[in-house]
Amino acid sequence: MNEKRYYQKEIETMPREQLRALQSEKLVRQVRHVYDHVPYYRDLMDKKGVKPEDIRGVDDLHLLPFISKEDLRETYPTGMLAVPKADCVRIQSTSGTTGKRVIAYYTQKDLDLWEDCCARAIVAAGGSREDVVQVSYGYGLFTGGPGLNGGSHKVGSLTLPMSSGNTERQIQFMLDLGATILCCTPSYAAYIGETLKEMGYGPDDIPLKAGIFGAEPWTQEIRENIENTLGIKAYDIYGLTEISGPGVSFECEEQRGMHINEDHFIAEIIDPNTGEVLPEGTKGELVFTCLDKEAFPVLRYRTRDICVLSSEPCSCGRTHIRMQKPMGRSDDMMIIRGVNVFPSQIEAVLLKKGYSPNYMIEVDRKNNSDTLDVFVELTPEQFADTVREISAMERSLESAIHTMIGISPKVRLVAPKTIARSEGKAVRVVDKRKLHD
Amino acid sequence: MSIKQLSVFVGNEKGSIADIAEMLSNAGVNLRAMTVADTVDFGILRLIADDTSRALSVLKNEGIIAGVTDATAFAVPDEPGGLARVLRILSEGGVNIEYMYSLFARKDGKACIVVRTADCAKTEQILKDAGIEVIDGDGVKEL
Repeated sequence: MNEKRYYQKEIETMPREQLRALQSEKLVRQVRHVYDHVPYYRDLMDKKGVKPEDIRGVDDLHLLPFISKEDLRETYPTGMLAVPKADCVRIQSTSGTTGKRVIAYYTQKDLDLWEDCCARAIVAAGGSREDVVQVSYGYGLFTGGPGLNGGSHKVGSLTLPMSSGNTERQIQFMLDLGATILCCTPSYAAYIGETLKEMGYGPDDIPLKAGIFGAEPWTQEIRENIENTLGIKAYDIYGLTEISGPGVSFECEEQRGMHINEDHFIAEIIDPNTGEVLPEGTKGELVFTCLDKEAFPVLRYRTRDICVLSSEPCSCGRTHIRMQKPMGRSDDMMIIRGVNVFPSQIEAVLLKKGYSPNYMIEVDRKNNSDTLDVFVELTPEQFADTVREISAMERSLESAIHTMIGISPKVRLVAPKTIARSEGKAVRVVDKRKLHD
Repeated sequence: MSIKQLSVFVGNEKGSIADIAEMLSNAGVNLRAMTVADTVDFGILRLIADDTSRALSVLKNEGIIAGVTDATAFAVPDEPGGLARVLRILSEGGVNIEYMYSLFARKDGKACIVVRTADCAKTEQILKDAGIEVIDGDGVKEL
């Protein structure tokens, strides 16, 4: 039984000292590879006065310059490529919603290692070759579908390459083919759960036992909602295209943070303002260094994700450091009346108070002041017969959100199905202020 | 004795009441009364139907939020002061009216009024004691 708990037991349970030695050895080699093949990064190192020979191990990592999203945009489309294009077999790309796309390149070995990472996540969620894995992340340029698809193949599970959309067909396949593990965004999982109920099925009618959800921030409350409607245990998975894709880190059955695949990626936490490396256990910006990637080997990449790391032993037996779920990428952060607000904070309040995960946040500017409107779908269970009671529910939500974020919103309860459902990454925020700028 | 009233949550969008009326008409449900309480963002549509349970299941199947509450219906002479007299009796009996509307049809030439109060049984008892004709669910159906 123990054998089945890990995909690559020796690596995943390697003593930390040994793991660090392995990282050091790989880092020295990787820095040399990047310096020799990526002129853009060589210039950054030269400007900082750092030579490859200065990096003798993980302890010297802090000497290296950071790479930011802006650097990746600057070098679009091939400026960070470290191998001849002919050695690459695949690209993936970010959505480009926050600016120019980032194109990530993969050699066959890069794909193999990425898929191994996803396979570790699937096995950690209880997956084996006996399982049927329904991949309902989008396929194509987005890394979600291809990553979990590849991981599922590695595990030897029967893989259903559904992609997102056509939700009733998703459920039909789930029923007819006996899917046991679902992989998609948490917002799409919630929508599948809602549709399942509408089709007259309950959690006991489907054979699903686990779900692996990621690619967008989600709260503990929405986890419970998904677990109840689908009758599964929901596992978190984290990743970003710039580093490889999903599977940079993943949850084990303990669900006390996500284990970072440290044999491939070194994680650091820095002070986002000064760039100074912070001690373990301190909250700060997550930074990743890729140790094995050939084609797109990003060093000290600033993710803009704010979180905490912990290397305390985990009872699952994995020794790899755990990261706390980020509150949200700083790209998702809204600044309203000078206050930092994450959509996930508002979502947590809504779900805690029993509202549906279907909501929309609208930020606007009226009379030179920012306004925050939160549209939430009313559920049949909550319906009250009088205007007075429904208005009181709105006021009560407004006050709970105010307590959470320090800003007074206007809450509007709306009829079911009036807020558009998402099949991929959910769009929760409409910022109309940009129209005025 | 009380009658069943349907309350429906409607968003503030063009056509939302028409949609609901069509869903009910397609299911062969006939309406006896209708009123809307509105705010800036939403409205509550209140209906008296000839077949309340059918109307409710039709709306629920369409994903509309609706519920059933009790209300009291009574008939008053269609003349000046006919309603005022009854309302005074209720007020003196300590009954607070949350909202009120009228049925489309008359009963034996009398106007039919629906009131929603916190305590239907008490309301009906006061009306009966004053000799006012209270209409029950079957009575509404026959109108």
